[in-house]
Formats: sequence, C-alpha cells, structure tokens
Amino acid sequence: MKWASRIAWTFLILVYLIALAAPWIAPAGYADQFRDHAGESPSARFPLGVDELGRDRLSRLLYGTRVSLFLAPAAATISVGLAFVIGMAAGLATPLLARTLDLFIDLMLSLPTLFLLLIARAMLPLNTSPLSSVLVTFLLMGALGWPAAARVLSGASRALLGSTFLLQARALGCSSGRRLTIQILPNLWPLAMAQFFLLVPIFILAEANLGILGLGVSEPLPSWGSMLSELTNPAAISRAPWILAPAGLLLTVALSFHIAGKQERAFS
Amino acid sequence: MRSSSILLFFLRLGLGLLIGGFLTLMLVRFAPGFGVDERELDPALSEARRASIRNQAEPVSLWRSYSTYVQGALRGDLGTSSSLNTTVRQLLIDRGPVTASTVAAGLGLAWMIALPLAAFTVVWKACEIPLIAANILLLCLPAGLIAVYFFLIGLPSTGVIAAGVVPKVFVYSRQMLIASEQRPHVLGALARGVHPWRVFWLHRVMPAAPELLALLGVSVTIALGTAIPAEALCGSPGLGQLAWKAAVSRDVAPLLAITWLLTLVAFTANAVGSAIKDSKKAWRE
Repeated sequence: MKWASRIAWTFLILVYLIALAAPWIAPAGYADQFRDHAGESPSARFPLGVDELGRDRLSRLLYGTRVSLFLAPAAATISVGLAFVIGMAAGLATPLLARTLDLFIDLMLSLPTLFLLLIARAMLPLNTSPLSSVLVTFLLMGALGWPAAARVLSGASRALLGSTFLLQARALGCSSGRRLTIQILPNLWPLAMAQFFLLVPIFILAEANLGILGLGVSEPLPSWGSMLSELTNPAAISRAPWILAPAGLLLTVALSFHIAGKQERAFS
Repeated sequence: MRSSSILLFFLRLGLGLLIGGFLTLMLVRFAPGFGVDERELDPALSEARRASIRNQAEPVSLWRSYSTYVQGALRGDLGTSSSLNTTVRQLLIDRGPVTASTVAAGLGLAWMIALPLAAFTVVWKACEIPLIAANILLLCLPAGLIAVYFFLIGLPSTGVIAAGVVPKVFVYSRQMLIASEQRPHVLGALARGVHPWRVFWLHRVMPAAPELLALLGVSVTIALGTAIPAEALCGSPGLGQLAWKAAVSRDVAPLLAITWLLTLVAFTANAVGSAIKDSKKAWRE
C-alpha cells in the first residue's frame, strides 16, 4: 500500500500549500461581502457560489482550510506531548504512582470530551474575538485529547521495561538517564508519531461537529466546521449541492491523514 | 470476584466520579468567560459602571462551590436550568430514558453489524478491501454530517449512533480475531479437523469475550459522544439535545449535571469491562 501512502502525502502537501497561499490565490477576503450576488450559484467569478450573506464560498473555503489544517495538528502536538509525559511516567514509575496515573488516564478516557468542549464554548463571553474562540477550542481539544494516546504509550513503556535489550543495558551499567534517552525515547517515538496521525483527523472531525452544531469558530472567521453548518438546512442541499464542497474536502483530508498514519502505525 | 475486589471496584468508581466532577467544575471555573456578567457587555455602559458590576460579583472558591454542588447532588438538587426554567433533576428524568434507549439501540445495532462483518472478513477473507474502505470512510465523516444525512432521508438518531460506533468495533474486533488466528490451540484444533466455524466460535470468539466486553465499555463512551449531534440534528428529545440547547443558551447547570452523569455511565462501563478482563487474566495466571 505504499502507493496509497504516497498519494495521501502528495495530496496533503498540496492542500497545505494551497492553504498557505490563500491570501494570494483567494478571489476575495473571507469576510468581504458582495450583497448584490447573495445566494448566487457558481459562476466564473464565484466558482463555488456565494453564501446568503454575499461572501465568496471559495475564498472562505481556502481560509477555512488554513484554520482547520494548521490548528488541528497544533492541538494534536499538545495532546501527544502530554500523552508522552503522562504515558511514560505511568509506564516507568513505581507501582503505586503507576496505578494512580492509570486511574487518572481511565478517568480522563471516560470524560465525554464533546460535552466538555460544549461547556467551555458555552462559557465563552459573547464579545470573545473569533481568533480567541478558535484558539480556545483547539487548545481545549489538545488538553483533553491525550488519554487514549497516553494509555498506548504507557503500555509500550511497560513492555519496553521488560525487553532484553534494556535489561542488558542495565546489566552493563548504563545510567537510567542514558537508558531513557538512548533506549526508551527512540523506541517510543514512532508510536507517538502514529498517535499524532490518529489524533489530527479526530480533532478536525471534532471541530466540524462543533461547527455543525453552531458552536464552532465564531463568525466571520471561516473553518470547515462553520462552513458545514450551512448543511443543517436540508432545503439548501438540494437547491445548492455545491455547499457540500467543504464536506468533500474534509473527508478527503481526513482519509489522507488515516492512510498516511497507517504507514506510521505499521512502522511503529 | 472476591468481596474485597468488589469493594475496591466501588471505591474506585466513587473516587473516579468525585475526581471527574471536580475536573468538570475546574474546567468551568477556569474557562475564559467564567464570572463575566453579561450586563458588562452593554456598549452603552460607562467604564465606572462596568467596574461596579465587576466588583459586585462575589469571588467563588473552587472547593467550596464543588462541595456545595456535591452536597446538593446527594440531596437530589442539581440546580435549575435558566433557559428552560425547570429543575435539572426533572430534565434528566424526562430526557434520560430517551437517550438511554437511543444509545442502547444504537449500540446493539452497531455490534450486530460490526462483529459479523469482522468475522466475515477474517474467516472467509472475502470482501476485505471494500469493507475496510467503507469503515475508514465512516471514520472520516463527522457524526454531525451523518446526522444531517440521516435526517434528510428520514432515518432515526439510532442509526447515527450505530454509524459512529460500527467502524471502531469493526476495526478492534477484527484485530482481535486476526491475533487469535495463529494461536497454538486454534492451529491444533484446525489440524485435528474441527469444523472451521466451531473453531471460530469456541476457540477464537469465546476466549476473546473479556476483551470484547472491554471494547463494549469503550463503545458506550463513543456512543454517548455521538448522541449530541445525533439527537440535536435529528430532533430526538434526549440528553444530547438538552446539552446542545444548554450550550447554545449558555446554561451551565444542565451541562454540568449531564457531563457528571455521562462520566458515571462511561466510567462504570469501562471499569466493568476492565475488571472482567483483569479477572480473566488473574484466573489464567
């Protein structure tokens, strides 16, 4: 399946480059309104049509891609960082501390993350800027998304502790610091990378779910989630099927992350 | 299970619930908008008036508010919903059974689809690629989008929950069944000429039952998470819809109570799954 992984990587790099170039290639700003063209169908000037507020959908999709594609990996980095520290501590600590950390991981796994995100979003003051709201949303995802990865990493750390090469290193008098940096960390790294590739699509989908529910990124800043909220009007889908474009892009990007991550998982 | 381990299980459950509730309250307490009076946002107000509103707000101690909340909860008082003008307790009584039946039906449907499909791909090695592709595709779709589609074609929210759970159950149960393929007792039974279905059922599925029960615990958490978009977008009057309405109208009391309740359900399901898995491990040892 190497060819599938190559296609996925090429597609992801292409989407990232397009998202980076959004200010130069987008036909208009994401908040620019063309009130005379509100609700218009696709044309040469507006390839994906215009929304009900007169904003060019293609421009909003390009800027929205920047928000979703840059902040989801950032949140995943926070989660994997936390999972790395907590998971490794649970795997390598004394039995009592390990049990306590395991209980904490179990508990965090049981917390309904989407409900916690809803609480946090409900608490945001009405005058919060769109940028702050999006940063808070992704920061929370990063802070709450680590338990599954931590459980995997703690299990792997425990398995490493019983490995023959680590026992041999210990018998040869290798210090614990050296064992950690030379033996344990490099062996856990591919697993952490695999968890990163699993978390990115999860966060993209969580933001999309919040957006569809009208609790995602505040207007006028676009994201895939906020653009998908247009789909809650069933009549609009049959009247203007091109509003499904963000859903198509989201599906393809999430799929690409899964395929790219599969290679990492196979490696780990 | 011995009485000491049962006691330990309930102790762990109680502790988990207390910590879970505290974490939820801490999140609320340190959320960026906590303590901001909506009146402060009025642009017509002078800076002095805003400062006086801010000074009127009493500082709330995290510990005190948590202990008050827990004491109230123990008496059955979970606060009042400001947007719906009803006690949270009454809302939970009205809407809890709807979510319970939706989630139970969704879970049942998901397991009835995912497990036979996983067995089908493992035993017959047929339709592997299309089934795996369909599952990955489902994994990449937001539950909200599936809910919109189901609503459009007139299917109930149960289907949305099943669609959210199926890919995970399929992937993990398939991995479990594949892992059991090369076990010595399975190879031995096949070499002796035992019928492949008998081998599959008695030597692969039955020994994996504790792991499958643990997976059932995890799938409860997934199903509860999917219930929000499913109920909100399909118009099912359950706890998911209540949570969404409360979030939109910035009504924190019902959200806190629902999160606490669902943490209890998910933690219990996960703990029971893990306890069964651990007891089997101990029995083997």
